[in-house]
Amino acid sequence: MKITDKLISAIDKKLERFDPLWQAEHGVGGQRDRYYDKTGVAKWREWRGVKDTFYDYTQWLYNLYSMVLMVGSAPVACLKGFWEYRWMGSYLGTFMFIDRLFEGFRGYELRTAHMNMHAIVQSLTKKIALVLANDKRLGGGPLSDNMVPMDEVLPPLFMTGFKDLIPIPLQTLPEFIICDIDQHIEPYYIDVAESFGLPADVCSRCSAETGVAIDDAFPIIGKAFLTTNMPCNASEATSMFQRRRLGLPDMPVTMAMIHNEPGAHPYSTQVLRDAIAFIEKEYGVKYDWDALFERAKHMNEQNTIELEKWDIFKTPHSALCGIAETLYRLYSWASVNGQEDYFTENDRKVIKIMRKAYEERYRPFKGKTRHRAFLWGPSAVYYTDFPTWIQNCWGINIVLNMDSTMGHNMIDTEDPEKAIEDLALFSEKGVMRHHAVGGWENVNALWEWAKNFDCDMVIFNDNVACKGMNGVHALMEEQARDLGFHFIFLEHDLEDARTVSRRDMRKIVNNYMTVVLNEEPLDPTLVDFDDSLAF
Amino acid sequence: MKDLKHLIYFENLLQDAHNELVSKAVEQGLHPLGYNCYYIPEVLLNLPGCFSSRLRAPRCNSTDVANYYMTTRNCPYVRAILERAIEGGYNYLEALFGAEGCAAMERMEEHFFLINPVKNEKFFTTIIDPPMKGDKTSLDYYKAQLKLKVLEPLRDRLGVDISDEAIRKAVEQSNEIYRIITEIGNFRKADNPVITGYEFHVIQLVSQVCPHSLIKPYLEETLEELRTRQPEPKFPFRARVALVGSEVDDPEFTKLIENCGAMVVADRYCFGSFPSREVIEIQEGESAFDAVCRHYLHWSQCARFMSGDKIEQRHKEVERLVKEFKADGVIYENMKFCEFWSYEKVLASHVFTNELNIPCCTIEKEYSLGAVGQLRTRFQAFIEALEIKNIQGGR
Repeated sequence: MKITDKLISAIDKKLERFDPLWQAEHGVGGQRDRYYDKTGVAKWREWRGVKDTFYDYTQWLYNLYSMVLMVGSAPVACLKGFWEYRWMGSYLGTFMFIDRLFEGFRGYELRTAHMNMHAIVQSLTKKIALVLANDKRLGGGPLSDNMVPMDEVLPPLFMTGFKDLIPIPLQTLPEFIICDIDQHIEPYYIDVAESFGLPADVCSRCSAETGVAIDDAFPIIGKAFLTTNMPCNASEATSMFQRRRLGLPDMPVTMAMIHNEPGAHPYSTQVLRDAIAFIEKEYGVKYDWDALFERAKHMNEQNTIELEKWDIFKTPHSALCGIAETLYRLYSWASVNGQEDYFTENDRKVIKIMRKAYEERYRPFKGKTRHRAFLWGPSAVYYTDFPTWIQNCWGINIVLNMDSTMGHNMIDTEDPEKAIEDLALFSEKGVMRHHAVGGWENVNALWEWAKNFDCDMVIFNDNVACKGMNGVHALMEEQARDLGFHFIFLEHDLEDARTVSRRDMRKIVNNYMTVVLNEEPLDPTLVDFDDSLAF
Repeated sequence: MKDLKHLIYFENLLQDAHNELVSKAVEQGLHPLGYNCYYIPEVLLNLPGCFSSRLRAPRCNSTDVANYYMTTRNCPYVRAILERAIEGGYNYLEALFGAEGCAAMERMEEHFFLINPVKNEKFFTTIIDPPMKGDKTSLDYYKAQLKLKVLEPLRDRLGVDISDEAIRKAVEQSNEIYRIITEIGNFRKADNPVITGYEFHVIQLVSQVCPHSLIKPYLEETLEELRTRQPEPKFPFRARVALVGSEVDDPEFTKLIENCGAMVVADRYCFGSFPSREVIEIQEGESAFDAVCRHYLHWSQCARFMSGDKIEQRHKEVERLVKEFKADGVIYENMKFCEFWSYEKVLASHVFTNELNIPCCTIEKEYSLGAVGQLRTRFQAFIEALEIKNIQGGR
């Protein structure tokens, strides 16, 4: 052992009483003790030992650096953006958001988590600066007309064949990511939609998108708009408002809903061809298959790595866990979708760490995991750190999330005909859609996934406004009973924390763990607390 | 007005999905084929040897078992249908042709093969994936889906003739019904009509839930009767409205509006005659099947359609009905928990009120009419507003 290691070890031993994990283990405190009541404001940063605390803090600085670069690259546009858009303010909560995502993370899992998170932060900050600098509402920019606003649920990989155009998932910046960061922002937009007459029982995410449209809070970019029928009914319906408010020529890219049947794919393939023709016409550009192939190679490599990650997830030795996996896969697949080299490079680095951890038979979270759970159904966007909480409080490791199973078929990189067919299949298996809609077999695939990933528990996200998932309620519960899984229906309202609060969600898990399984929490300070004022 | 001769008989037919005429047709050896949604062309379920039965759940008092399967947070129509199926109300069916018209509908139809509520050994279910645009790609997909999920199962499982000739015959026979219903419906255009909205609603419904061959004589006789029926000396209502929106299969709902003082002169909703009773025209060189698909895709007014032209068509169609049937305003309804019609209702009421200058009252309803006091108040207020507008010369 090197002298520095000895020194660090001694300091760690000396200061271990400040570590919330140690405190919880010894009954003298825990994670929640660091916070001011009701808020997400910590009195001090989490002490994780010398190395991990130092690493965590440098990553905090690294993310801050990306934020500074964002403002520095387009200072006037960013200032105008803060002035114009209510949602911009929520990005100020980014650091608190990241801190709470990785509470209790140590060692390898902390490193992979930050690597993935920084990939998102550096990409997102660039995208915000790019969009604001070219937003016609704020004066426009040189790339305004080179941008193609698209529904964020439509995978943009096929658009990379237009090498001079920039596909922008329209709802991601003003609506989706902000809800990940801040539970209080979305209700404003939901109220806007409801004050216009929309009932409160529709999906809150789509209601929020409608509110953003009515509130004129979407950036104005591009010359034409690609909407989509994915993932579900309300999403289709909200696009009626968005197209009307944006006032751009639009084309709904309506992929097959019942997408697990052979007859669906030729149709979806033709719809993609129609979409390409539409963009060619509206933007006066020609599709370049070689440009597509170049990016498809990146997507293929990322998916190849993803499949290797899954093999490691099936073991207790994964260095990539919970929300660090879920959020990254969601962003890198749905938003980036092969367009940025950074994500391929990041995947290569992360898989190396995962391989090393596996070889060492490393156990994350200091081996405190008691249950391995598959998280099924669309998750509550306003409670992004739920997987972190459930690990820290009850030792339940969210091994994989339904949305991580999105399109992982390889795209042909030589034959355009084959490539577009692969892209159709790939796109049909999009976010919140692959297993949530399109037929019973898709949703019922849960049990195979849970079994393959060696899970003993299934947590079924029960979005109170999701008509499709509500429609399989009893059948899922009966299946769980028959197949012997611990099963928790986790009620939430997707983007409206007023209906089912984070605390309510925790209560559902707490009740199951204490009443059904008779277990004791790992960290009693996390069982019941009020974070209603937190970002 | 003098009572229509068959009205009470028609009303009785609507008291049960498995009604007298359905039983008779089953006894005659016809194949009873169920469907829920306009996306399934009724005419294809009326091929020789078959008859269509659009599923309702009349007199549905409770959906407790369906609530267990689908939660109380789902469309009350689909819950009522599932409940009725579990109760055994559709045991006469040999098939259900479903459509993924919406997520709730699809989930409900899936229960028909997952928990096997229909106790009939021949029974099977298929579900089509209907398109969301009216373009050629969508039409091709629609044709492929109907062929795969409706025609071929009819041929392969029930031995039904699905030849062009057979489809032409079904189109011809269906058109006869459609012409009768359209002619009856057109009486509502008169300043002082010889038919009420309620009566028409009953007639339209029996034409959807009874075997065409057996209900046709009654419809013909009713049409003859209406041709000579004397209207009230003076138009008995205070206003005329078009009823627009999602699923309505209970004529009591129309009666509720009419009891508040407004005649329902046009019915543009699921189970209504717009669309459903337009005559199917087979163009020269076109196969009967292609004509059916083209017809249904063109006329469908489902809020599920996303493309600009179809959204525009929805609004234009209501505007046309308002003009042709001289409606003073529109009552726009949606079934509670219906995502599509919730959105469309909000958008359409904005378009009608602010762009087309058509007064619009929007309401949300349950499947079973229970406590209607609030609805009555809304309708009365709206009708009063229309009346005042008329008194003030349209201002």
